[in-house]
Amino acid sequence: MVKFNSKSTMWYRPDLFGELNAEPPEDWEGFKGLVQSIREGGQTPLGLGAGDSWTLTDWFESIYVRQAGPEAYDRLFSPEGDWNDPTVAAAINEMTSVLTEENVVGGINTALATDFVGGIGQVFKADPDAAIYYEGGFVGAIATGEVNTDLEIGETIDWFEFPSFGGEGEGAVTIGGDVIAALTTNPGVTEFIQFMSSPESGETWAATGAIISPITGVSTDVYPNELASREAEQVANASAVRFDGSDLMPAGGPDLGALLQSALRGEDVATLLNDFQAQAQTAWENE
Amino acid sequence: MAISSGTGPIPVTGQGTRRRARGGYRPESGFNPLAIVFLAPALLLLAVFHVYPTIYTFILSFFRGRSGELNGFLGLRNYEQLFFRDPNFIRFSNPSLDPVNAVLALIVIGSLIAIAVLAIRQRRQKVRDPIRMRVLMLLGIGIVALTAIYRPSGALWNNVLWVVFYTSVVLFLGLIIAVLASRVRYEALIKGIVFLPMAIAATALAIIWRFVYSPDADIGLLNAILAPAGVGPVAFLGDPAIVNWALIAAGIWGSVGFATVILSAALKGIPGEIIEAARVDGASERQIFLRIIVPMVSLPLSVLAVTLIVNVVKLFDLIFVMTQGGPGTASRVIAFSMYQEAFPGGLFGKGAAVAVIMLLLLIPIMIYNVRRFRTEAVT
Repeated sequence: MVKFNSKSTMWYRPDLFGELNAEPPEDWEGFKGLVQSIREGGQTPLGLGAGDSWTLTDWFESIYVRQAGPEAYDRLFSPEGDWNDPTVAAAINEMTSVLTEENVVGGINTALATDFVGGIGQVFKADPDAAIYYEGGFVGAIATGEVNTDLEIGETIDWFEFPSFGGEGEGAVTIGGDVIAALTTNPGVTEFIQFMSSPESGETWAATGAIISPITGVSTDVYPNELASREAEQVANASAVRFDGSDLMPAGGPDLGALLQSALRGEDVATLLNDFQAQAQTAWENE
Repeated sequence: MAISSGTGPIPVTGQGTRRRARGGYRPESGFNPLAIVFLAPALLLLAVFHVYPTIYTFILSFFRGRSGELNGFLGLRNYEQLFFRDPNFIRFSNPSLDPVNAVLALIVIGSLIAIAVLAIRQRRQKVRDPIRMRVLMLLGIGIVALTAIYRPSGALWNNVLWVVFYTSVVLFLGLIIAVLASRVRYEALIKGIVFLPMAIAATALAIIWRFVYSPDADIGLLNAILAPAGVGPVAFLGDPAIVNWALIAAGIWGSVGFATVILSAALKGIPGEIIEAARVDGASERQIFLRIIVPMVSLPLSVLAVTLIVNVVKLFDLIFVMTQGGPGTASRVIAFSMYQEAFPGGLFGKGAAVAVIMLLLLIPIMIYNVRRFRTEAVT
């Protein structure tokens, strides 16, 4: 792996939190309470860009690894995975209990027509529609660099850790990242890979603030701001680190993002998971 | 619809020439070896770029097809899966036994009986055309009732919606705009504006419409218009009940100009004397339109219809850019499924099977088209 990001970061507007007297929550129950109190304070709590369905798979994975634990997570995204297991429906139900018609900007259908960057915009534009946006560490660079360059770290943008459920999954973190592989040994290829795994390249990349470098020897001083250095710390101190599960599914497999979009619209989760399990099994066999 | 009225009871010149042309061109008999030499470059290109890929795709569709190679023979399993076990491709809901469905079933049966009755009467009376129109209408009613019972969904069904609504609306609007524009002074300006979307690349068109449909009233033109009326925000591309219609509307916007220009040219080709003569004979404007103008542009209309249908069966770019087949899989079409299965999904065999189905759907249309080209001197 040459670069990655934590996907257990919950982005929010400190200024709105101040107005609403809200605090980052201690755990999942606290998070649900926080969402409710923001809504009761007359503010839409959550931005959501569910038109890009991978934002939903990230929601699901972050909940699952912390609720069911890293071992269950490993099993689920392997050929032995059982999508009919009650832990899966439980995680989806936790997700849909928060991502409701009232809690997201414009309701579910609007969220389904909004893409990932559009969702960032809902929270981090100059005149925000919502207070919280969940996605990986890369939100920081996109929000401050592209969506709204007037954002001030700690004032109008910050993140807190994805809420915990306690138990085995306490402190577990999901990540998304890029792997480098060589298909030939042509001159230059080996040298390039060596460079890409050197602290020099890692520091160059990390200095952009968009990624976290997995390369040992990259100094933590190179992260350009507190958002990125805390993200690196979070992963370094995590009790368990798991790769984005939907990216570990076989290529010809069923579409987890599409399933979660359907769940968000209120379709029956048990039926959806039953179909999904059958298709996932075929896909693993074909792998 | 308009195309079929070309065979209406009033004989017009268009039909006369059609009959005469039928016996016209006969290829010279006898074999000339030199012909092979002249044909060779073209044949070679056709073989390499058309024939070989088609045959390879056909064979690949019986395999698992890891990285596009012929491995993992599956027989007909890809097809079986597509038609019976893939709700994203085609799915029929299990109809329940409720009063609504019972009424619909009665309508289906009723229309079938009515068609049979008409067919028997036709035998006896030998009246052709009016009955044919009625049969088509009854058939339409029956099919609509059937789909209301079984509620099909999936990529194949979405393509049916595209073919029916996109094609008919584009032809209808194209003809209306062409006829009306020819009667006003600013014809060139009107046609220029209607034709403008044709100058936009399909991808750019799709991106423009994504903005237009955006649920955020600061970005989305339509929601900005609807907001003061207290409606919305409507998520045109996020609601599975709306998304296909929203996409079809965007597609229509992009193609009406093309139809208008072609039909406008065809209208110019109608000799003024014919319309004048009809007017002298006391034909109303409506009669002139339905009995003279429409039959006389029936050939360009049908060529246009075929072009539009072919374009719509292989439609991909609009869907890919605007919705990625979503929300969920609600707006997938055949060509998108082909891409989705083969490339992101890595199931090249299944993707090839979708491609073969697409080809099979296009073949009848192509045969029709080639026949027409052979029998007509197409304008």
